[in-house]
Amino acid sequence: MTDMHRSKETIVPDPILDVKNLTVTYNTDRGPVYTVRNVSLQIAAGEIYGLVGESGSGKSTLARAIVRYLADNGQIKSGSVKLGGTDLLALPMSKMQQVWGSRITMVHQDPAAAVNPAITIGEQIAEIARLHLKLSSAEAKAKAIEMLKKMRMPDPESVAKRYPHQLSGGMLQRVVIAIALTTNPQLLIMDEPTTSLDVTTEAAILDLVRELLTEYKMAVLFITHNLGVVANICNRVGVMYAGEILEEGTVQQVFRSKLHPYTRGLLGCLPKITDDKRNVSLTAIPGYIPRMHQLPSGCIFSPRCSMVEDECKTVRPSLVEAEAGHFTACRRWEILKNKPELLMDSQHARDFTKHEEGPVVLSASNIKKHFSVSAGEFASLFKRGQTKIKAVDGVSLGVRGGFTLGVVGESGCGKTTLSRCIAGLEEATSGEIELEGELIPYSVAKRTPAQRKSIQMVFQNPDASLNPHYTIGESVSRPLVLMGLPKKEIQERVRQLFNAVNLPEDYINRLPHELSGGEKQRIAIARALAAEPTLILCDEPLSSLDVSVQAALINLLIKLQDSHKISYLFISHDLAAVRYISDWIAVMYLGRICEIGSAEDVFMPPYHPYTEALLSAIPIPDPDVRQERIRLEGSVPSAINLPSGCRFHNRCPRKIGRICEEQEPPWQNVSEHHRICCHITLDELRNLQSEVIVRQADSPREVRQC
Amino acid sequence: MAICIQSNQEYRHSKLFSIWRGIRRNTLTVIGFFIVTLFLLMAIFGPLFVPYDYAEQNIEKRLQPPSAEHIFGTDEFGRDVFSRVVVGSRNVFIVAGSGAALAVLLGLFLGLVSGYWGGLLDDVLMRLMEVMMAIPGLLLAMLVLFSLGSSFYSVILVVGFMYIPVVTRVVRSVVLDIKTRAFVEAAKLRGESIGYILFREILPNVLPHLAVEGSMRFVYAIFMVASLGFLGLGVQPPAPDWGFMVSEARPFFSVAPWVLFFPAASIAILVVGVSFVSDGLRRILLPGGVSSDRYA
Amino acid sequence: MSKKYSILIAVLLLFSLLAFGCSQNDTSGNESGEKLSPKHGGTLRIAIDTTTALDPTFLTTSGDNQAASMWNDYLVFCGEDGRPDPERSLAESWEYDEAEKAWTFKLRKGVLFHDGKEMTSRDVKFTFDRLRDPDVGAKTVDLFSNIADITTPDEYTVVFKLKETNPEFLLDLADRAILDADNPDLKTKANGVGPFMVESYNPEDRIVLKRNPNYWRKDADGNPLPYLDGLELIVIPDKTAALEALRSGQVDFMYEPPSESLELFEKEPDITLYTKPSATHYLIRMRADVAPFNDVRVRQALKLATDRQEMLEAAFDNFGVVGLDTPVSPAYGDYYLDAPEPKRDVEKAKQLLAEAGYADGLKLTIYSPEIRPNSAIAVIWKEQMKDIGVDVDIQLVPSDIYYVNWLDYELGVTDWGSRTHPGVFLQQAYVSGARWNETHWSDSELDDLAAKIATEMDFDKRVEMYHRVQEIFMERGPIIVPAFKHSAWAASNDVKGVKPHIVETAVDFRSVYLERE
Repeated sequence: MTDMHRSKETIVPDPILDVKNLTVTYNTDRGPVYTVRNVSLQIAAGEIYGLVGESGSGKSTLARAIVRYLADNGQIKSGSVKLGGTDLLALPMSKMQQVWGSRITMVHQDPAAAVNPAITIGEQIAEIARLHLKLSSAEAKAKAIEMLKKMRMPDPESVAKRYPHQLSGGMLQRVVIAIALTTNPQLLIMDEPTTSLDVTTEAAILDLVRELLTEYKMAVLFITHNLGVVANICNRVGVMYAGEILEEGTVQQVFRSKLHPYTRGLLGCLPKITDDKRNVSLTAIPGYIPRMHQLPSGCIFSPRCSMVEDECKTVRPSLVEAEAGHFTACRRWEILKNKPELLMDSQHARDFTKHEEGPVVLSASNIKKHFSVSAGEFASLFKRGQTKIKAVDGVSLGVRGGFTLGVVGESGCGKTTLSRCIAGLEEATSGEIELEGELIPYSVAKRTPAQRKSIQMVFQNPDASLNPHYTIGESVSRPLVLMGLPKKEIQERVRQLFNAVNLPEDYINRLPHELSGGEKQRIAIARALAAEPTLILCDEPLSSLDVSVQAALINLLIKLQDSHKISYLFISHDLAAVRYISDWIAVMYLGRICEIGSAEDVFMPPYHPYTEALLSAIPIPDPDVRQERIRLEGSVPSAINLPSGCRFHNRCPRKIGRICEEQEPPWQNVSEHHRICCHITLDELRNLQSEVIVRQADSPREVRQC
Repeated sequence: MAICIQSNQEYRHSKLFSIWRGIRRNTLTVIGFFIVTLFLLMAIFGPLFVPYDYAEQNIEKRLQPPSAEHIFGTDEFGRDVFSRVVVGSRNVFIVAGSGAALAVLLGLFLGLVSGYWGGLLDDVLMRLMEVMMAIPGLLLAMLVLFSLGSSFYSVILVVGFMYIPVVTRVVRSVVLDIKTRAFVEAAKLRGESIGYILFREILPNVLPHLAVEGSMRFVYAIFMVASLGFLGLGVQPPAPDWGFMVSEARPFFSVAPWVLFFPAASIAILVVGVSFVSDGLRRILLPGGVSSDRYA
Repeated sequence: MSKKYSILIAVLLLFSLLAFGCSQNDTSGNESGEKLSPKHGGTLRIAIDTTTALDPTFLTTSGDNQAASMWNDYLVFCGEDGRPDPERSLAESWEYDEAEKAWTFKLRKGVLFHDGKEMTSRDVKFTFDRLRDPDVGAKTVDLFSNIADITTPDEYTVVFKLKETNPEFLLDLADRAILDADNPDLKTKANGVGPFMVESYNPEDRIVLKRNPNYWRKDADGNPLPYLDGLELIVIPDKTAALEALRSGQVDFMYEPPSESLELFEKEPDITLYTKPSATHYLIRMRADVAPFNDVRVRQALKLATDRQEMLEAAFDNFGVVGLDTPVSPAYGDYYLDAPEPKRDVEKAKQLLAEAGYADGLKLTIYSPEIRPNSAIAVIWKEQMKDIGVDVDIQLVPSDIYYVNWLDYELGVTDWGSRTHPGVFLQQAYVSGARWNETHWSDSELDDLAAKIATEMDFDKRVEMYHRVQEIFMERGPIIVPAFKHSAWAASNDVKGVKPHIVETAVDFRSVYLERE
């Protein structure tokens, strides 16, 4: 650890948070592991600093070290942390406890875990006020209401009397922010605060944070893996990789100039909302994040860098100031300067054979899945009327051979239930599912082996999709065993499958816990492929993976579709990924499809108002892109109490009147393949709507007049 | 958070080796294993090498303190306490071990069935288990043994039945968790039979919990067998049941405390030893893997 | 942290205070106003066994007997040697009329019940009518079935007319508490003529008695008895616990200290041990009406192979005297036939077995209560029987369960407490059809002798007949009696005037006094 970082005092005068050369280690059996190495950063008052990194980058450890809340075996090896002039590392623990909650506050990822489920909302805020601000009971109560008002909470008095379980995720996160801001802290640390929220809710929370910052002049350390969010809300950004900061600067500087190969790689991984698989392929960063106790010598990114030289592998580079306030740890940064497209041009046109649309392989007509809410077997014997959750309420769609249908929607829209009905894991309540023209039973147990083979599924959580007791070779070969193939052929096929998913053959005898998340997901895909299906249902397969890994997996899926002519039903809440990979897109809300069409059509006006709102809410990692700002009120209603008429009417910003409340909207055909389900006529929509996402850029294709 | 591992993986240790490493790491676990091994060897080989027949009486030499001839002294009938303790260990392992094994096997089966099927079967089974648990174990054992007469087999049966509910509940809760996992759903999608799903997919993941719970049941079973023996409901004299030995020795405690001390200490040490082993197993087998691979 | 510790310390202090407070026992009770002699005064704390009933008609446990002896007096008082003692009896004198088969008792005058009422012949008649009334159902109904009639010619005279002569009638009448005929509630109201009066009765915990100021007896110097101001009878069923209580000074006197710890008494300078041979015995008994025990050779073989001395040492901790397989104890004086213990003869025993057809050995199951010394007897016997090829399987049973089926077991270990004279044993257990004949033995010579003994008034003749009975037992009886256990009591050295009694529960506390240093 011999590198020195140049002090950056000149850049940030009077920083509230001043971290210098901080090194954090964890004591493990194999000796101390340096999780954070020589990191310095400063945040001024009123500034949001985004700390971006993938898993294993050490960003959470850094945050914990700053507040001195490390695990038992964690230790701050060297460096200093100053908060508004106070040296935090020198404080005794008792004084540090007073700092927590008053001068430094934190907002975490899961709001439900951050609040006490047994205490009312108002009381939780009031408790902070009493404890840290020494207010009286009455004053504290008033303060609580005041804070809730500041959070733009509708009806704050009634919310204050409620319990956490009665609020949605978005509202709870507002409450947590309220608690965090009650004491007017000097430093607010937000650790993935919007990751578990729906994209529309996320947009609202980010708006809120931006507004609050004009009033509260605190320093904010915003930790996330989502580059789009960073571009949206942060002033400055630091890119962290394997315990070191590789690039730091203002958002404009970093996102435009991208003076480190890693930054370029990260940004290149992300599918842009305006791209699709036919034009460009995604750059995946080759290699793996290094293990903390086996760091490469020289530049830690060198094993994966595409412009690596010999000297990069031996000398650890230090942070250099490339331009005012913009630091990079790449030796060869000058090559990257002024060449924003270098290393990004591997995003070139893909060799994409265009096929004809094949016949419809899967057709779902008017699928309904209703769950009855009951209190268990005995209770259901006595209940007279049953409340129903209408998770899927009349969905019809078709998937053609070799093509991908993407289903997009927020939590509670029913997309997962829909896919499970098609797979047969849930029995649909009504409707028809046809596989290659043939009607198939609702339940997987009743289907023929041939039918089961045709529909395969890749699940969301790679850790849970493989049985931890069997080697991955065994897991992949199981479908082949069921098909009754001889042993030799099975072995051969397994090898082929491993090749198809780009995994080395010597992995065959590994156990799942020895693989990374991305590798496990590849195995899941290989297993699905083994059965030679016609359709693969991908249920949020990318959500738990890192960005760079997601890109590789998307590339893989596309490649496989090309070679094996498989159809995909691709379900996700990540609109950019869905846009990229799908040929067709269906937008779902509360159990119904509100818009369905080809990928380009759906993302261009006229939009269904919900689609419009979704598009306006996605955080785009490009400061040059202008987004319309359309925000939805409230949150997704519960599927038990469905709104009458159009399901979207109580949140729709374009609601036209009573008709939306009373009548179900009709389907309107924009073109042969594009339908919108709305009361507003298409002409009206065309008049009212303009493109939500406009790239202030060179390619003229994207700018269109309404 | 998924941590990526480098592709050139180091040698993957065998399961047994990782267990051994896990044991070594904690002093208490090592002590526990040492104690259990010692007693197990005593139970298996001890009776072949004891200096005296456990029933051999020598009334003239009754209540002698520990000496070179009788290292644990003699009891009220002049029998060698050491020989009786050693031979008695066999009884403990067989009876308590069989009882625990019975509980584990039946509990495993019931837990699998109840957890996987759910519904009415699960409700009924669970209510039955709760009723069984509501009755105080020792009283139930006494009731059953009074009516059936206490013998080797009836004690095993009673001890086994007493602990079925706990094992069932543990297995069931694990099954409830595992059956929702994606690999089970993948198996259903493949059309695997129920037997395959239960025994090839779910069971291997239940085994670590079962090992931990089984060792815990063994601890309780040892204590229960000793308690029943103390009350005279274990094997009949002159068979050297540790619990009964303690009970026999009680009137002589002020005069010849060694007669009570050695069997009581044996019970205590074995119980503590198995208990350490159980804790160690819990640490090693759950939650998944050797913990040195993880760091925050 | 420090806060937690201070709370812990406070709790510990509180507990130790409570424990300390509880263990503080009252020092000797308040002395009575007038001290009559140095011997007078003090409260004695006695550990007794579990009690079940206050009503003396229904005494069952030793605890009942121990308690009842404190507040009652008897028509005929049985002395420490087992013979009637007119000095301490409520009957001043008695006479027997052979022709009429009538016993006439002259009662003392001026004997008052605790409530002040004078005792008369009416109360005596009431007591014995009650004891022999089958509707009331006391244990004594059979015993007193021989009484034809009880009459009271005047206030201080009672006449018992018998159906058959009974040489031991006095002993049968002895130690029966005289009840108050006018007491409406005998179960809960304790109104007796004894030396102490019941102040409070808590059968789970303790019975508190205080001195009866109107007690009729005086000591040799004319001082009123009893010497003690009061008694506290504390119920401690567990003998080890009672011993500990005695050693720690929480009680002053206990009955029947555990024989296992008798060695300790040598080391305890402050405690005195009192012993006396008794008639309490334990026996291994066989069902003489089933195989293999119906063959007398088998019975003899088993008896020959038994080493009783070993059992005395190991099961009784040498606290007693070797038995001879008869229920007659040396404590009975002349009645006891002093024969030598049969020598153990394994060869002869095996031979007898072979003659009986069991050359290949025998498999038996013996039932025993799980407590000592019964269980110990069983364990030792099993080892001894191995030598003659008899394999005995031991089945221990909790005591109360044992006494449910004890009459049916083929082979069992039973215990018998003292009786006033050995004839009681014969009548209760050994004559054909006796109520508690656990051996189901039916021997015509024995029946004959037993019947004669019951009516033979001549003492020497009775002695001869008892000797013959014992010979029969030794020859062909179905019981093995390894030992007669001594009676024992333990008291602190302050307690004076304790006289060991042939009946363990009948120690006379009238003349016991305290001499605290």
